[in-house]
Amino acid sequence: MTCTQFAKYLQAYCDGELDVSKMLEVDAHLEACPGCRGTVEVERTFRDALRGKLRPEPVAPHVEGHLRSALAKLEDEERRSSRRPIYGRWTWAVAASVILLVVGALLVIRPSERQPTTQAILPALVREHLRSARLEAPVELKSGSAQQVAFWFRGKIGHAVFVPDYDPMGVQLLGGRVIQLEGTRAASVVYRKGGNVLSLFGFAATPQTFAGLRPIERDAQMFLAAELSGQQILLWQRGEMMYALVSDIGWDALFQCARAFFETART
Amino acid sequence: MGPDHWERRRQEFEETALVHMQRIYSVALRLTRNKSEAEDLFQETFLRAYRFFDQFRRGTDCRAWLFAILHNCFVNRLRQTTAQAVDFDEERVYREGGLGSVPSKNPEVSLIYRLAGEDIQRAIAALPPKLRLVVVLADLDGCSYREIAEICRCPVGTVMSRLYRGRQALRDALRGYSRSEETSKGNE
Repeated sequence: MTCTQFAKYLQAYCDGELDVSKMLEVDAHLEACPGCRGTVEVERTFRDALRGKLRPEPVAPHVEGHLRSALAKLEDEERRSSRRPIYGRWTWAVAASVILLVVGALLVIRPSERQPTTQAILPALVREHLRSARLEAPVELKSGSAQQVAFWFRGKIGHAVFVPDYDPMGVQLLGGRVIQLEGTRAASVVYRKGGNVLSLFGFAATPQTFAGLRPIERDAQMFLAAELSGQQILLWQRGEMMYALVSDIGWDALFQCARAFFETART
Repeated sequence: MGPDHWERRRQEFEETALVHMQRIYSVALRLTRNKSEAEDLFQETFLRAYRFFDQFRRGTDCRAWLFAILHNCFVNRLRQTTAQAVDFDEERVYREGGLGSVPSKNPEVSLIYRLAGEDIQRAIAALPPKLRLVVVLADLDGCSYREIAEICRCPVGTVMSRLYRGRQALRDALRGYSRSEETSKGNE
C-alpha cells in the first residue's frame, strides 16, 4: 500500500469502519511509514480534542419540565380522542345511514346521474396511481418535505392541500404533481414504502360523489373503501376536499396512513 | 383503552425513548445555532416520537429512530425558516479537494486545544446543514457510518464523503478563528 492509497482509507481507519483485511493492510503500511503514522495520530487526537471540548450538555431542568408537560398534554388529547368514538361512532353511523338513504333514493329516482361520477373517478385515481408507480408520470416537484410539497400546490388546485408527513412510519415522500380528474385539477402526492408506491390524491368533492361505496368507521372517522384492478382505495373527507389513498400495500397499512393523516393534521 | 394502556405506554416511552434525552439534546444543541432553537427541536422530536410511538419497531435501536425523527424535524425547520426552498446541496461549495489528498502534519491539535468550546460550536454551526449533521453524529455522538446512513437515508459512501468534507470545512474554519485570534493578540 502506498501513502496515496492509504489516504483514501484514513478517515474510515480512524473511525474504525474498515473491514478486518483492509485494516491489516493499513496496519502493515503504518508499521513501515512514520509519516502516515503521524497523520493518524493527528487525526485521532483532533477528534478526541473535539469531543473533549464539546462535552454533552445536561438537559436543563426547565427544558425537561417543558417536554414532560407537553407530553402530558399530548397524552391527554389522545385519551380524549380515544374516548370520542363512543359518541362519534353513533354520529357517523347516523350520518352514513342518511347518506346511504339519500343515495339509495337517488339511485331509484335518477340512477343515470350517479353512475358516471363514481365510475369515472375511481378508475382515474387508479390509473394516475399506476402511472406514478410505473414512473410513466414523474413528480413535478421532487421533494421529501411535506411543507414544501403543500406549499407548491398552493394556487394550483383551488384549495389548500394537506400533505402529511409519514416519515416516522418509514413512508418516504417523493413529491407531487397536478393531475386532471373529471375535468378538474387535483393534487397527486407520491410516497414510497419499501418497494411499494402510495398515492395520496386531494380534490374538491364530497362523500356523496362516491355514493354506493362501502362506508367504514375507524378511530371515529368515516372512510369509504373500494378495490379496483388489485389496488385498494381509501377515501375520506377533510374540509371541502376529498382525499384518496391508493396502493396495493393492504388495508391495514392504508388505515395506518389515514390515521397518521388525521393525527398530523390535528397538530 | 383503559387507564392501564396509557400507563403502560407512558412507562414504555419513558424507558425506551426518554432515556435518550441527554443525547438528543446534545445533538440538537450542536445542530442549531442557539439554545432556544435546540430546545424547540428537542421538544418537537420527542412529541413526534410519542405520537408515532406505535410505529416504533420494538427490539430495534430507539436512539437511531429518535435521531431519524430529529433529522427530519431539523430539515423541515430549515426549509420552513428560509423564504425559498433551502439549497440543501450547498455542500458542493466544499467539493474541491476531494478524497485522497494526504493531510500534511499540522498544528491542528494544539490549535483545537487553544480554542474555546464556543469557537468550536460556532464553527460547527457554520457548516452547511448536511455536513453539520454527519459531523455531529459521527464525531460527537460516535454513530457508525451505517447508522448515519440510515438516519439520513443516504448511501454509506455519501456519509463518508460528507464527513470528509465536513471535517475539512471545520478545520478550515478553526484555522481561520485561530489566525484572527493571533492577529488580535498581536495588535494588543
